[in-house]
Amino acid sequence: MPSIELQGVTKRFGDVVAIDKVSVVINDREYVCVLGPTGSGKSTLLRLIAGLVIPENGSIIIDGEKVNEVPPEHRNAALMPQNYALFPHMTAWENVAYGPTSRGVDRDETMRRVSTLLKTVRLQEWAEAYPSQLSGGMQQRIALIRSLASGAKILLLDEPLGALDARLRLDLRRHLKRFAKKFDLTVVHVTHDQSEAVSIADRILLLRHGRIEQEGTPRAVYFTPGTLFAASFVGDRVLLEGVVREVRDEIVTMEVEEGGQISAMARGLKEGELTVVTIRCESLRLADHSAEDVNNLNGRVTEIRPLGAYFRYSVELEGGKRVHSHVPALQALGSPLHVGSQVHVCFAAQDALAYKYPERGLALEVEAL
Amino acid sequence: MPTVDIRGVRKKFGQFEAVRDATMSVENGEYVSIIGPSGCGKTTLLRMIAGIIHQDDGDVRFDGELVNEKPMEERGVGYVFQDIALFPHMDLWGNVSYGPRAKGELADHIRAITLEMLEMMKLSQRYREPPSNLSGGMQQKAAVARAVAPGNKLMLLDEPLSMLDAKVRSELRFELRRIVKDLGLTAIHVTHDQEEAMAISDRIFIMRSGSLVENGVPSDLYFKPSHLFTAYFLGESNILTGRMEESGDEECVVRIGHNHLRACGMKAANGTKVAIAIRPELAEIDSKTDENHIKGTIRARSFEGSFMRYIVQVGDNAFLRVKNQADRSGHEHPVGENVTMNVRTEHVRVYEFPAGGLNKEIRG
Amino acid sequence: MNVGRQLLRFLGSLSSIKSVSLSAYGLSVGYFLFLILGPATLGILSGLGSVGQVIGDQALMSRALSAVLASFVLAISVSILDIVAGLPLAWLIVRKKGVWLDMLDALVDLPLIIPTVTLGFSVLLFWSSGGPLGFLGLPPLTPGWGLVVLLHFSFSYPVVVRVLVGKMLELNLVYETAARTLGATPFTAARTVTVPLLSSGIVASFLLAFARSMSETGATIMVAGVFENGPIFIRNALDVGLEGPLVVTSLALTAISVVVFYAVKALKVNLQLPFRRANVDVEKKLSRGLIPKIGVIITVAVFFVFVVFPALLLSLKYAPAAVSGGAPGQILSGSGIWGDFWSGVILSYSIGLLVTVINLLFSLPMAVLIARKRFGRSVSVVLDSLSSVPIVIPSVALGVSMKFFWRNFAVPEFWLIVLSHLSITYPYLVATLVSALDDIPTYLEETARTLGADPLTSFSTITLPLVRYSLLSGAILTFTRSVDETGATLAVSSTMRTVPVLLVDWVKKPFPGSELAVGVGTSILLLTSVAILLILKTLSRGKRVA
Repeated sequence: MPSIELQGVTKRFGDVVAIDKVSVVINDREYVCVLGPTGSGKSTLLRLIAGLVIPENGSIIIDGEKVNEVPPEHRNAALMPQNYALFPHMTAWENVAYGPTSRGVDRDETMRRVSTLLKTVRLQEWAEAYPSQLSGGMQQRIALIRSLASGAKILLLDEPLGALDARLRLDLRRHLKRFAKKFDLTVVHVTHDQSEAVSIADRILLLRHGRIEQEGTPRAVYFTPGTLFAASFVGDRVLLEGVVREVRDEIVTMEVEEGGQISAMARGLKEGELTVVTIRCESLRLADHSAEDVNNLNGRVTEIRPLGAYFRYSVELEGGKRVHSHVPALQALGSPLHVGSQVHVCFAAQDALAYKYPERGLALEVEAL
Repeated sequence: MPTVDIRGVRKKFGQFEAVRDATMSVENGEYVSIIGPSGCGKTTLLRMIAGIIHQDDGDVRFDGELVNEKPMEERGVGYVFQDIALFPHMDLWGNVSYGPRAKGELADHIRAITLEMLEMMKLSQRYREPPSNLSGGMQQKAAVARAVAPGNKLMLLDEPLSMLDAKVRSELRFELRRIVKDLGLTAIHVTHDQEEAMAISDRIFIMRSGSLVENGVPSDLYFKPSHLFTAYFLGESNILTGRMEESGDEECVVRIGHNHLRACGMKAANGTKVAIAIRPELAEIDSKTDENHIKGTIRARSFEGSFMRYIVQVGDNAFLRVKNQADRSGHEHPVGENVTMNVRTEHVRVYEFPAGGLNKEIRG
Repeated sequence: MNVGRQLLRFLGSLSSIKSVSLSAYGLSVGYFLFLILGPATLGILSGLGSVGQVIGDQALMSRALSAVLASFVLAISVSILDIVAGLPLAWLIVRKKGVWLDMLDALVDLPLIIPTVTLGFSVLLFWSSGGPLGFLGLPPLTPGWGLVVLLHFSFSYPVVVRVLVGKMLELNLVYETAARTLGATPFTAARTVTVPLLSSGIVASFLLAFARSMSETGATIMVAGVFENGPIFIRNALDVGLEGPLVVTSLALTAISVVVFYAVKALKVNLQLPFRRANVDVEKKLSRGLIPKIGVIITVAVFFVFVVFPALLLSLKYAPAAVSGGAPGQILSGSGIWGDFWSGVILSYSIGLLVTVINLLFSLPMAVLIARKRFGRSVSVVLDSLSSVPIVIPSVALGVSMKFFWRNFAVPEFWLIVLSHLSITYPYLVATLVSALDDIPTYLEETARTLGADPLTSFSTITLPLVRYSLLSGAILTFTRSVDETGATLAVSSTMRTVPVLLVDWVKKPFPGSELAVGVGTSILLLTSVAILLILKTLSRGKRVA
């Protein structure tokens, strides 16, 4: 039985439609990431599930029961806001004990629960400390076990890593997933960071303007984005504009503005249509000679920047457009290419995804700066 | 275009030493970043360069001229704030033109420079709008325009992107660099995001607990870090404990568990405990190189978009994190598989084992 | 203990039920509408019949209207003076550091804790022949509009400074710093960035000072002499027993007040002068060096001469007399006039206590409604505006309205006074509570709810402890305001005399030894106020949240 289900849920704030007829199913013990830019409605979605806001239309169903009228304290879905919301006037112990105490759990049972959980996250020595005395990572752990202690089986995380240093974010990402799996929790984790979502989610819900743009496993969303927005939001991609010349099954041949023809994967495109092709930066290979069976575009290397695990090669194509290729560090270190090198930018047709050119213009559609 | 020279700058808040003996210099037209964990003092240092707070000790020089006594409005430094701080009671035009107006420039000049800045940021259409109408990224661009408009040649950026969405951050960081370079400015950019620092800097300064640990060009710091902390904080590193087997200047041999590895040179007595850093992306599974084979078993793996992350057990309690490029075709090593990894000699970095233990050294 | 806990749990579970919490809020809104707002505004309308009394009489009419005009001019001028003199002081307190500035900060509160009748008497003495002016050989100020201006200035100045300090502390320093890094001198940055951003604070403090001045009655009577503003005229009319003037003046006063309040708010005053380019040389001089230093000296001097010293004088002059000779015995035994005094004290304090407790109980749900927008944003805005209406009505007019409203119900005098005080103190309490609740982020209570706490439990275990200090200070403020209240009390009472009313009587109808009596009486009031405040400060010190 699915743990959480939304059926045609709409939520308005004045004139603004924050969530627009959303239907989604989140299964028991799934770790779902709700991904989207600021203002896409992700936090509202969380609050709808928690019961802090009531939808105008649609049903919210938890564990098979419609809960629209059920207040938050009876829903068993614990919310953890971005800054953890540890109660500043209570010790770590009192914070963790808050849930069971409010629910009327027996005193001894509460004590047992709290001390076990504190031991699990190795913070038993900090039981008497106040939140202001704990580091960011420690606060997160206390907030997590606080949710757990309340007996909640659903964990709603609102940008749980947003307040942390980039370094800590990377380290603590996996702790969250491990924590959820260990305690058999269903998790809805909201974030604007696609690398975070891709690395820990069982499934991703990509949200935009209150609607689900795409849902699927990280691999599905990463390799086969359904829309142009999804393609540009998840992962780093290069965008090329062009016109369709030939359509054969799922492969289209198109003429790009940079000059030359390329083949790409597409659905529902017609001859003569304006399109945009997206190619992941790591799928663009730079070679000194053109290769068979793949797309080739000519260009010149204008910049090589080491970004750490990969190098970013900026190539100016004939026609002036600038594209970027991500080359793994090991490969780049041994590469004979330098600034000024003439290269062939090669990519397979399967790595090029074409979409209909957006009506509102490219910049607006991908929310470019 | 100023050079910036900082010598022996110190700052204490009560008992807490925020900045200890900071000495650094920045050349004309350079874009440098100062990175370090939260609370390491980088923002305090930046504010002292700007003149927003006063140092307890030490000198700050711009183009050779001592500016210690100069109030902030006279230092000619553009400051970009973490929380953007566009004036909410003025529209975009009012914000960007503020500097020239406050400095008493002539009306023609004010108009010309404001127009130029707005156009450069592609915000000319929106000059009448209040800041709150714009997205976070656009607001920060406007803030940069505002900071440049008074004619400042030195830009100080205090975690300018940390309040923005991840996607916006990754785009705006290259924009920032482009603007600074196009205008021929010098920039000091403070951040805790090492990816950001790598992307935009000519040189990076590593800061930790109030001290500047080391500095260098990004690739040098990344592939040949001189300090263990740099290896840990800049990018990802596996940090392991081992023993020196054969010391040497160019190369040495270290032992981790049952593995013997040829590593970069380090002088230490044979048998001493050492700390070894290996970056996850520099360990290749099943590669063709002949250097440094490490055998292990894959215990976990995760998909991370452009690469796969593996956790490989190489000893009783030793695990190596490995990042290799992901393949759409699905060729990935399954959990449980026994694999051999290769690492080049120069990518096995060896350091003196820290006296206080690894954890303390890294967490600072 | 267990029973208590079970009871709380039961109540808590009730609060989960929507209809229950709705009725609780409904009750508090009903209390507000039917006991606070309604009588205060509607009562006066029922007295409209007697207006004819005044309209016909030319002389009376012009006297009434000039009284109202006098109130208006007085209030506007004093408020402007307050802002001009108070802004620099607020600036000093917030921006500069130093031991003597902390002292200054504490001194600002001084006039606030002194009951206004005490202040009135003190001002009277300070500027008379017995005070410093006489010392310097200058002619003393006799009761008249001059003294009234000085009095109103001294009690509204601290209010303005407090509000401005609060708003400045809230204002993020980063804007001014940003302006400075852009090349603006401190003076330029202040006038082009900080002051405009403080607009709402300046407007708020202006209106507060305005309302205070329009309402103040007791002390004004003491120092007015023959000068007549609205409240004084009403009191004179009361003395003579004419109802007509009461109604006309109250209506006019209220009308002017309403116009000023809503006009100012509607104008959305933005204190931003067009700024084309700065005159750098001039502004540089104004930022550093001699000129600002002179400004500081003037600001502080004004503060001390016109506010602190007049406030302090009283206790210094009469304290010795109160404790010497047979005086203590007489005073404490309640012989003669002192009997009246003590019954007045008992009356004032019991009213104060009642008013505080009742208002606390009913204003808390209202504050929650407004701050947490339980029924939506528009409802909150409406309730917020409505709850501040009693401030806009000058207290004496409010008292008159109350009297007319409740006389249809034969409400005893004591309760009439209680009701008026409830009405007058309600807006301040709600505003304090709303402001305190606004500071507590909603996500704390929301998280508590998702952890399993019902609305009542989450409120009482999370929000309430965090606003404890504000609650306490709100309660103290309500209590002292009630004890201090003169205007409305004068309007509604006929036989009972609260302490301020009594003291005003003693001043207006002197008897042998009355000056000493007033001095001692006001000193006693002062001492008890100070004692209460000290208790508050010590209690709150231990309860600061980690």
